Amino acid sequence: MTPLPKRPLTDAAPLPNGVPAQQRSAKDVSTTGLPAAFQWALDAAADPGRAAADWIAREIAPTAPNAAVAIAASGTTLEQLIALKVAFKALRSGAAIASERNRAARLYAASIAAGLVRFDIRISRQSDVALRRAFTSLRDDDSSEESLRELAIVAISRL
Amino acid sequence: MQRLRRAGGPIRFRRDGCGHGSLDAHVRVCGRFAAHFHFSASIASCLPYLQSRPVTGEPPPPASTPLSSTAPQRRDAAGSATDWGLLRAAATAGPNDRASLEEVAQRYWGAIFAFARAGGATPEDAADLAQGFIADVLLGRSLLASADARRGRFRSFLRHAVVNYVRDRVRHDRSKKRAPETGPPVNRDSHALDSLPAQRSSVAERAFDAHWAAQMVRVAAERAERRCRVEGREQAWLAFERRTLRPQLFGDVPPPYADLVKLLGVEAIGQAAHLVVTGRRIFVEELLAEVRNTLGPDESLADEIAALLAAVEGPR
Repeated sequence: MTPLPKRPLTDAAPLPNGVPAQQRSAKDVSTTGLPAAFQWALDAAADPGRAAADWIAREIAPTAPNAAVAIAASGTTLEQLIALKVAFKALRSGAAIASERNRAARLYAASIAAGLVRFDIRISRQSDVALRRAFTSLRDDDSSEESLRELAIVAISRL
Repeated sequence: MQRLRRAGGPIRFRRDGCGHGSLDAHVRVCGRFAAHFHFSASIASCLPYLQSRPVTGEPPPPASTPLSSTAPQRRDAAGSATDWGLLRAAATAGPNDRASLEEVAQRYWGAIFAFARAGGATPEDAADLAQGFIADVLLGRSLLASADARRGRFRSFLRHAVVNYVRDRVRHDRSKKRAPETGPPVNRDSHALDSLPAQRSSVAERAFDAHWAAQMVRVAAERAERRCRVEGREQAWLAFERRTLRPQLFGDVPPPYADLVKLLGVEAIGQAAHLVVTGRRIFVEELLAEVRNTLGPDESLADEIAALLAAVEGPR
């Protein structure tokens, strides 16, 4: 197994509207900050099971619109996949509702699968049996995005 | 600064509160929140004393609480009550029940002030209008009689009442100018001065809604911080406040995740990101609850949030 690289994540993440914080003026804040709060509220009200996972994804991979894209995108680095895996694992255990917990579990598995498929690196200490079970559940989950289910199919073949 | 209202007399300013001798000075110095909320939220440090209060001998009002303060915070009188319930409680409160009266003043003063300012009033006149509305109308029996949750959105209800109050005040003041107290009686209906120009009225109503939305965010942030402390999730609040809330609301530079990891004492960026989002989720839960409290039973939460979003985004 290839050892994990120790390069830190880059942290030049722009804020949600794409404007680096350093370039914002105080005037901008009153027009950009409050809408963000209500947009989060709309996100959470529209899909409470997915909002937190998508927010996590945008924290770690700022250009991705949601968690599935963050995991499956070719531009996502291994370091970002590791951070996503850690965050989704934490979300799985700390989820507020069952749908959020289930979503976090799928994304956790998908992050590990992406590491295997795209970098040929195993970013988990779980056994083959446990990983196969997680990938199979992801593959068979109709509610998960096709891109994630395809990652699971390929990852199963790499075990 | 404390603003004192005397029946039939002008507003005057007292220097024994925050120490500012004028409203503009207060806005400049005390209005730290106000820099972004357009003078909606810092009013806790400059609480208007209502008409029914004694002018002297009262303790200074509580100071406004910054987001990151670790000082104990007063639990507001709203609790889990709806705005309809809060208004009813305040209007029926006894003279010694300061909490609910102060809560009403704190909660609505900024939006009313913003409405008056956007309608063209000077800061002093806007403060006078806001205080007059709270003292004479909001806590008066006239509004209480019609304060019924079945009427729908409290925001719309209150804004309509403010529009009517300002219109009546304008009409009254102009009548007074035309007819001295010692002069003959004036037929008020003869004055077609009962409304602001349409364009300015629209701007004023939008200012009211934007301040209303800002107040929702402020209260939600305070409650989320308190909840995180009570639930032992101080790390989540710290992470959210530093990485997201302050950068969004105040323009602070968000700390890089490498720094946040050290600050939070966690091992990985993923853990820090999870804490940031946990704090955001708690904040959003409180914001949703806060907005829900202003709605009647048949009102859509999503519609109201969308309306508030439109209000703070401004005209496109």
